[in-house]
Amino acid sequence: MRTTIWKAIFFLAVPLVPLAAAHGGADRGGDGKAEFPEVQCLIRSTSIDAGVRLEGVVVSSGPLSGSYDFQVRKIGRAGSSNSAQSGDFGVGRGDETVGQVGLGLERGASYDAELVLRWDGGETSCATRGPETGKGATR
Amino acid sequence: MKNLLMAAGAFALIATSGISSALADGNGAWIQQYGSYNAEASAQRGKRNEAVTYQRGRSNEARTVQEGQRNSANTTQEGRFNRAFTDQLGRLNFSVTGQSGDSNDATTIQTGEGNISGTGQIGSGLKAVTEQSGNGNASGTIQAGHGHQVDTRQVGTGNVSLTIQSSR
Repeated sequence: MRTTIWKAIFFLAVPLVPLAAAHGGADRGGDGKAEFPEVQCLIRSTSIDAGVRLEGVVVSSGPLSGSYDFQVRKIGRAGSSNSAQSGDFGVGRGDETVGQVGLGLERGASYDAELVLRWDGGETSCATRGPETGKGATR
Repeated sequence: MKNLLMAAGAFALIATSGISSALADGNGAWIQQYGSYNAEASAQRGKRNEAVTYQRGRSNEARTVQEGQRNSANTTQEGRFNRAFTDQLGRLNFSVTGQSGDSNDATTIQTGEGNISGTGQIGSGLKAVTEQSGNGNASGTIQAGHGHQVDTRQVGTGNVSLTIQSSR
């Protein structure tokens, strides 16, 4: 399941890379053309005991600062929850986790998560939901 | 505890109703209430203050406000239709709220950096709201029962939240 989630994230994320690059960046090269860092929005999903850990990650090919909104909603027999994290981020070359949410999933529970990244002149977002099987972790 | 007792401040052991306020460091406020429709309010300003509230009964309300650093708030309520409200302003504050019973409501607001909030609820129709503004805050909410609602809002960087809901 973990592999499948990563595959899904990969296929969702790859098309976002050129889109994000087209919107982002602040530097300009000597020829006058804008040189944007490639920005990738990513939600890492890791199975934990009876639940999932979700990380909102910004991946950039160069220095970038901006703001983020990371929202995770869960619904299940035991109840519903909403976790909203927001703030500023600054990243050099590489990736940085901007938000982290741990979620317990009772049987039949499901969640959806969305990360929105905004920076000067650009914005991108990504989303995921789970569990992929449609069944929550057994408790 | 000894230090808290020795420190100039407020000490309260009040049944049925209680109000406590302190404007210094190292204060301790302990309030115990039994019965119904009790109201408790603790206000502390300074460093390393401690507020402990225990209420048993129904329709009780506990309100704790702390301003400063390294303050601690501990609220326990047993019964139905209880409400707990904790507001902490400053850094490295710690709040824990435990509620046992149906239709209870816990709200925690923390403004500052490195704050920790923990909420545990057992029963049905429970609601927990946590708001944290600042960097490096951590929030944990655990609910057992049915029909629960958790709302966690965190503004800043490096914040972490954990929510566990169990229908058992």
